[in-house]
Amino acid sequence: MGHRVLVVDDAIFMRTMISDILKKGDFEVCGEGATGAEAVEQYKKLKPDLVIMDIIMPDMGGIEAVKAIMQSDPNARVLMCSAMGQQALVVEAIQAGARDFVVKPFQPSRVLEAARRVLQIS
Amino acid sequence: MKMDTNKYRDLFVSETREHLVSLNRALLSLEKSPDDPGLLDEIFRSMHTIKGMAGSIGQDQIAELAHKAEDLLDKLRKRQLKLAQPQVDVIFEAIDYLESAVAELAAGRDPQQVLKQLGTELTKKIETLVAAPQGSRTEAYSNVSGGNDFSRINPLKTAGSFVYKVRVLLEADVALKSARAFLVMHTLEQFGKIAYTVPERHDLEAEHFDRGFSVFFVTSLHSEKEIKSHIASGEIEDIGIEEVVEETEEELVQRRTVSAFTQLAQERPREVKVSTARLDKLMNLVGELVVWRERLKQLAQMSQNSLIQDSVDQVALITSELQHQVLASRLVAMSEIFDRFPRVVRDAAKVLNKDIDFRLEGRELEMDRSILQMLAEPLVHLLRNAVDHGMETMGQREALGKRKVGSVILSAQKVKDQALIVVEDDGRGIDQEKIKSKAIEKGWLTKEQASNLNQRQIFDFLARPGFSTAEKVTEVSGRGVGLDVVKSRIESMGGSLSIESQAGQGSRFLLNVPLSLAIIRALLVSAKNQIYALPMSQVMETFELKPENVKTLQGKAAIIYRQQVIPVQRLAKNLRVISDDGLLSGPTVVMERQGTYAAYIIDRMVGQQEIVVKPLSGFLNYNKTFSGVAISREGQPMLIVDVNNLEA
Repeated sequence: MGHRVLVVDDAIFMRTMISDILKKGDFEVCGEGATGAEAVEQYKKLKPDLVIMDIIMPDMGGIEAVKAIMQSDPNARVLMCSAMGQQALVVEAIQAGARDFVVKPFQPSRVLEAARRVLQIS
Repeated sequence: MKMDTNKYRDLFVSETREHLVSLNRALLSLEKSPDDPGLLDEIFRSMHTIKGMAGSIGQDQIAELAHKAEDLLDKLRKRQLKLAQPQVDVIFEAIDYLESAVAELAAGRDPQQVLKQLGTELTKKIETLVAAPQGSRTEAYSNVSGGNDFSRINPLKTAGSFVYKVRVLLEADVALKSARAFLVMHTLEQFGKIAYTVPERHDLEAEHFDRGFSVFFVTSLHSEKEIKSHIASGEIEDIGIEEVVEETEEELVQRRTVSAFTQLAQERPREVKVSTARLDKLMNLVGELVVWRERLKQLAQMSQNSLIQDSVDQVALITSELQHQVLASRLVAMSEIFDRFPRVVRDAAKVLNKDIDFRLEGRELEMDRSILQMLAEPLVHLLRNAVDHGMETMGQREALGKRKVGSVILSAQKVKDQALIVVEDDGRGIDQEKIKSKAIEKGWLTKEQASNLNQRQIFDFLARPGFSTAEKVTEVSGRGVGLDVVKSRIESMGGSLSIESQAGQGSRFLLNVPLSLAIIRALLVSAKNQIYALPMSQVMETFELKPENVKTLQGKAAIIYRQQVIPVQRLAKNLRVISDDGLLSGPTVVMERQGTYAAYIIDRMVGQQEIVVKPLSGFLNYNKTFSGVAISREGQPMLIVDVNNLEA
């Protein structure tokens, strides 16, 4: 049984790509969101094993969303997605509780490896 | 010559070893303060010296390696190359190689055979670093970090905590490096405290690093594996974790030079350096021991206990040997100062435009180092005088039919327990008439007295303070001759100075100095109920004098000794203890003084002893009759007679 992942990004294109990568890695994409607010909502509803979330989103950005999710579930595992040049934001996200990050453009292997590690599966 | 090669090889070994110790220290300091220009200079100079020495003894591979290292250091100190870990590491490797090479040499093997491959590889390695273009990013760490700063670590330590140095090497294509570094530290901080990082945090944040950084981390975790698992990631190429323990600088140096130390420990050093102060202390202790040994011997004899006597005999034997060894350890070859003299003579000759052939003889003679040191100045004086006042100009010599090149010989030989050092020249000699007239002029002599003087007495005037026959003050020998200073210096050592000369042919200055300090063999005699010590080195003979053998010559008592007529006197009268000779007979000691003999009648022979000479201090010293004082077996102080200063 694959681990259940919530994918959050404001671009459909990105969500599709990430989902494809995850499916190849034997993960189950249990839900999607386009904003921070949706991320928080879906998390409460689905209780996924892992959240992959973009940093820059409208209607509550990734950092705020991380904070909110961590508040509702301190054991939440969040993997942030970032673009180049967003170093300060990544640091903030980590400080907020994100466990790791991957940088766009993605390398599929990196994404899977990061996901596995955050979930602490070898 | 085989001998010379060994000597230079041994010198190379000991000198290089000293350089290597300071090289290690300097390099370690450099790791801590990479911007210190003085350190780079120091390291460069040491390597340069080693290169020169190695080349001189034919060790070409060592010289080549040192040469490349020197090139690297030169570029570094001129800032043509940036100092980074690889350079520091390779220089440490060079030092290790040199230590091995030196060890091979010391063991009598040829490092060029044994270390050939290592030497070649290492030399190539250094070459590559020298040739690296400016600002090359071959280094994985952008900062040199060797020492661990415990001042920042210690405040965080608690009982049961461990300190780790976590070295992280990021993948080459990592984007957002500083975020990655931040994540590592953030994770570590969940399990402990970070003391500091290299480079510092602000540099990490600003991405002022290449791919690697180190974190000094205090934690209660005791598993390196566990720590690694927490921070590992696909973006990290390598993690190195090692526990750090506080080291003193000494321990750090020791760790670094472990190879040198183990090698040194395995070989027995042929020489050690001992401070002269320590040797002096040893000397004094042995001196005291000798006195008590004599006392013990006496007591043992009185006890008539054969067991005690046997033990004391053993102790006496061992003490003698100990004394001998301590004295020997203070001995140093005269070459220590002699070897400087050719230069002295050459320089003097050059200034005065004279051509001098200078010969040294007896430089292997060994002498107590403190005496030797005191000889240096007087000898330089005498040598300069020989060249300046003693030697005619080339023109004058030619006119006289002499060889244009003047000859000056400095020789040393052992005579009994003294050294006879002679400064000899074939120059103009000393004009006795000139001396006489000068002495008369100075009011020291009347004309009549002058005509009665023998050669020796005339020459004695030369060494009198205030006397100078120098025509002009020259650059070389300054005012006058300083002969009076030379004489008093020599005498203060317990030696003597005498002069021989032939006008027109040359002069000889003879110095008699003891070879060893402070313990001498003496003949103890009693005169007027006092015991005096007479140095055995000057005792020629003792016998019982019969009154009929005493003659009178020119109103003075004399005897015939070895076909010579020599004066005879009561020692007590000579020492001004009695005013009258009384009957001239009894136990007599013939002493040698400055080439002539004199006989002294004493009350009683006490015996021969080795005594420890202690100098007379303060006002007691004004009377030159005594050269020191010693303690007899019975614990009584006795004066040591300076025979040279006894009035005839």
